[in-house]
Amino acid sequence: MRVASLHPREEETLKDLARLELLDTGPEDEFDDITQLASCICNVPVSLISLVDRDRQWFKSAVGLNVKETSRDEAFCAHAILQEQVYEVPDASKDELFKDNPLVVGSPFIRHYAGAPIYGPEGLPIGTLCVINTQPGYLAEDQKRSLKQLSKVVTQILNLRYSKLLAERQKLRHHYASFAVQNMADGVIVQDMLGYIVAFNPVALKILGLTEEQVVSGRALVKSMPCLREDGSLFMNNQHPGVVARVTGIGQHGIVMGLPTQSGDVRWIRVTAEPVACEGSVEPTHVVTTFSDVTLEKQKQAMLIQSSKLTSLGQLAGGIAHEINTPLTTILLNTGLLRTDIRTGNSDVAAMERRIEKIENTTCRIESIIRGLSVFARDSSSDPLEPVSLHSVIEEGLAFFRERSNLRRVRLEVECDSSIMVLGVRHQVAQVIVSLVANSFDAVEGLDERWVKVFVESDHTKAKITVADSGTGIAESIVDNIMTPFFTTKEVGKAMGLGLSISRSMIEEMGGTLYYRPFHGHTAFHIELPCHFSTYKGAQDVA
Amino acid sequence: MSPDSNDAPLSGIRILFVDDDDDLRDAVVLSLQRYGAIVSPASNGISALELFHHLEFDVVLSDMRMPDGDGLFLADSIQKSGRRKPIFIIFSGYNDLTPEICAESGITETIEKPTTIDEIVRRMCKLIKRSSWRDSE
Repeated sequence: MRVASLHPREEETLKDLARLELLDTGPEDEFDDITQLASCICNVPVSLISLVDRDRQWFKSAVGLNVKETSRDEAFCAHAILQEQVYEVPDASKDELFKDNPLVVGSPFIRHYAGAPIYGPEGLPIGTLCVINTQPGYLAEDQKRSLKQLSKVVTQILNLRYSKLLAERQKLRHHYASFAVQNMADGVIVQDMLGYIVAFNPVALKILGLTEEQVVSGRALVKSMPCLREDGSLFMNNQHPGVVARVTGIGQHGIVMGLPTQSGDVRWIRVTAEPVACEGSVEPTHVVTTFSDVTLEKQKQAMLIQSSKLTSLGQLAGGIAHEINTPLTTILLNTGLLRTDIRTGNSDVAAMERRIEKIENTTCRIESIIRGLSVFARDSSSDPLEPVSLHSVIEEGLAFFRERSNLRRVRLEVECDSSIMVLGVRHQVAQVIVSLVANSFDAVEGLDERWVKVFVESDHTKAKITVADSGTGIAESIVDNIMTPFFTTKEVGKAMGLGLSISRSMIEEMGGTLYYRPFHGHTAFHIELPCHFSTYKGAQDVA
Repeated sequence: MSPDSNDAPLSGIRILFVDDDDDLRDAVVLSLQRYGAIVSPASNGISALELFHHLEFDVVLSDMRMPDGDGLFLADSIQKSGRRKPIFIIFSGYNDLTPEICAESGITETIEKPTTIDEIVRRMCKLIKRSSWRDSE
């Protein structure tokens, strides 16, 4: 017996067969009618629709045979699928290829075989429509032609079914996609390139506070809606992310917009608008805008900043009392001394003048403490970016600490070139630096070696402010946590500055970075801010 | 108060005064001296303790927050030395000296900044009178 060689595209053929999802399914009239017809036309007892699988041939329909499958090695059909025309074996018992085939030697004692290939969706032969007789014989030309035609009918049925299968799958996919869009937590709006809304989901209406009628009739919703930016300014109509995406063809991602509600509140949404092309189009045909309600998130963030400011203010109040009460006592004691001098008629005028001078100097001390604290006294969150002289910010912000450094015996070193200008929000830069220095002062308290260094390096594109102290660095175990909100290792009421997480978000909003990296084994935080352009230009001019 | 004690109510009283602020320390020392006290100044708890071990004092008056040995450290150390003396602690801003802590560390009284020399002297006189009253009992 000779086993049929494999089809040259065997694997693809098997895939084509698998696509039909026909193997091991039950009998169907549609196919049984065809095998009946084939056996009748060819006047033979057996007709099969045989599908050639990897190791077997399996019969989708069988007339005159009670077997569902045989091994592929024995299959006549494995030979038949290798050619386009009807493959005919007149007498298998005399054929070199088949005479010792178990299906010839034993049941069902095949003598005459004729098979025509049937094809899968990709046009590869996946099996045959065949007729079998236990007597030798030939098919007449018209019988052969009919067999071929019937095999084509089988192919057509298979392909029709396959199309139907695909369509159903597609429908199901659409169903689920639509189900997902209808039930997702984000709002979705699809607009055409003129701005007309062609689709939306219920959440979109809910978030925007609109009715279905308003959306269906409305073109660009944005026109009727004044929207706020995070800094409180208004979005111009042509600045809405949906409009920008439509006009420029560039996706707009994560834009935060505030929608005033009827109750006078603001609903904050984070919007992403993506231009998309419908199938077959190169240019974008629609803009898909998705958005989520971030009002709660914004409120929490605001509360966090506010509460951090409140705590730091409360702590500062305690700090002020502590730092100011000592010089105040000095003043009171000196006035007391002067009073007794006057009462007792002390004539040492030089000594009395020294005392007055002491009072004046001490008053100046208090004034510089208060000046340093004014950094925290105003809300600068909506201040615009401006050129900021790091030198003056640091000098001003650290006046308070110069006082402290005498008092606490902490060496405070400041090194900053007065020409370095960065682009930032002046008060916020000061607040963050003051916070870091305050942290450092707390950290070195109780150490044998007590110093805090603030120095600035610049490469003319950005400036790096380093706040280092004599602390021995931050433990590995908490390094990852130090920037998270509310994280503190200090006792309640001890922290003075803004939280590190707030400091970092302030710096990041100015386009800078804030990170921790030890400085020669000591604790050090670094702030990087973009340099102001004119500084850069100036530097180039010099070069 | 007698006319005499009005002029120098702290006459002959030996005071150990501790504060890390130079200006304040100078003013307090001079003021107390005018009330007749004999004042030994120190700028932190550790050097104050050294003075305390070498000299005899009637009263200790100390700032609370100082580097190198704060007021509480000083009070605790004096308490441990077994030579109990009236201790006044001057604090500023947040007062974490609860009555329990004071009792435990042998702190007699606390005085809040800002304060005047009259207040300090008044509080000391009150204590001296009380202890002399006790002595006479």
